[in-house]
Amino acid sequence: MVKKLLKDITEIDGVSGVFIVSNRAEIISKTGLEFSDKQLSALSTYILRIIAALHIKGKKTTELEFYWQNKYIICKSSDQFLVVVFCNTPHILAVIRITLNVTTAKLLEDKKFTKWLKSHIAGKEFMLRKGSLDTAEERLLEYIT
Amino acid sequence: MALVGNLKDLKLPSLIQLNCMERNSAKLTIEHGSQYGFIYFEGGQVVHAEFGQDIGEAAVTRLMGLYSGKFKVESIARPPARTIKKHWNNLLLDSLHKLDDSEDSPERKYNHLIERLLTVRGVKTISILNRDGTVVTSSAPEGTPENYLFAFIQMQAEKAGGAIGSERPEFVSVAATGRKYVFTDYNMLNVVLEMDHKTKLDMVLPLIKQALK
Repeated sequence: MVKKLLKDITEIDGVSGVFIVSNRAEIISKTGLEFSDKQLSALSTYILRIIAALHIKGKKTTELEFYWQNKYIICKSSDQFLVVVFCNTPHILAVIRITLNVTTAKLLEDKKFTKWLKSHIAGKEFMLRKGSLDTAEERLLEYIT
Repeated sequence: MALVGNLKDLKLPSLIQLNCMERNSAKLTIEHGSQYGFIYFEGGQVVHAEFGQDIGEAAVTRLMGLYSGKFKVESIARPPARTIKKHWNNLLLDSLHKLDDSEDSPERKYNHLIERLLTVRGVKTISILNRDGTVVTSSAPEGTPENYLFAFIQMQAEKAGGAIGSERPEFVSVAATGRKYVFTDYNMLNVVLEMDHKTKLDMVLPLIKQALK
């Protein structure tokens, strides 16, 4: 089910890859991506920190988007996981947003997937502190928390 | 009854002109972010002004450079001090000349940037921050209380780019609890736009890029 949902997304013209990650930054599934699990996990750690920092300030994140010159990343956030899509054109972003809503809903209905997730849940404080933080980050976190 | 409004709708030179031509004795209060400015009129002349550390003509010149801010005009019997002797007409002209001369100052540059960005559909407020989160300027009436959070987000976005061998993203959009924030850079500073939550970044991106040029 998970693989099929990801494959459906990669079939959209302009999508270069997609992955799902737990809120512990563990890669659950990926398709079409040249990056290693280690790289994707590092990327996810930083995204999850953004979500956790907003959470501390009482804000629940639903979507994050990163734009470079020729690369676009769209993330759909659920409480327990993230779906992250890499695109190489801005023209499909609207379609991807809608597709991600559907994908997330279907994943949440998948009992096998949600059961697995239950054993991989992490608190927002864990997400915020995962990995190493430099002094500038620590200082900002002191102000935030 | 007090006259209230926003400088976005009625510019300060027009407000001064109006009070002087009506020969008013009044106090004009301007609220810009967390700062307050005051201009006092007596018998149709500007007689005193205060803005931050500045008093008199210097305060009027700085206030004239504001692009937005709530204002209120109230009648008063007498001003607290008399620091301006110039006729209001000359005061306005001199202040406008001084503003033109300071066109290249960072403060003016950022104010112009904010003015341009505020014309983009869906943009509600703009904050310009140093990398460490300290606020350079903000168009939000309440200032930028989440400045350190915003700086942290931009720091993480830069690291996220590094994780996949890319630079800092040009733009980051975050939708959270009915709000949308767009993060970008301008001259090594962090720029944070609070947008209408229904705005899709890709739809307004060309306009934002144009404003940032």
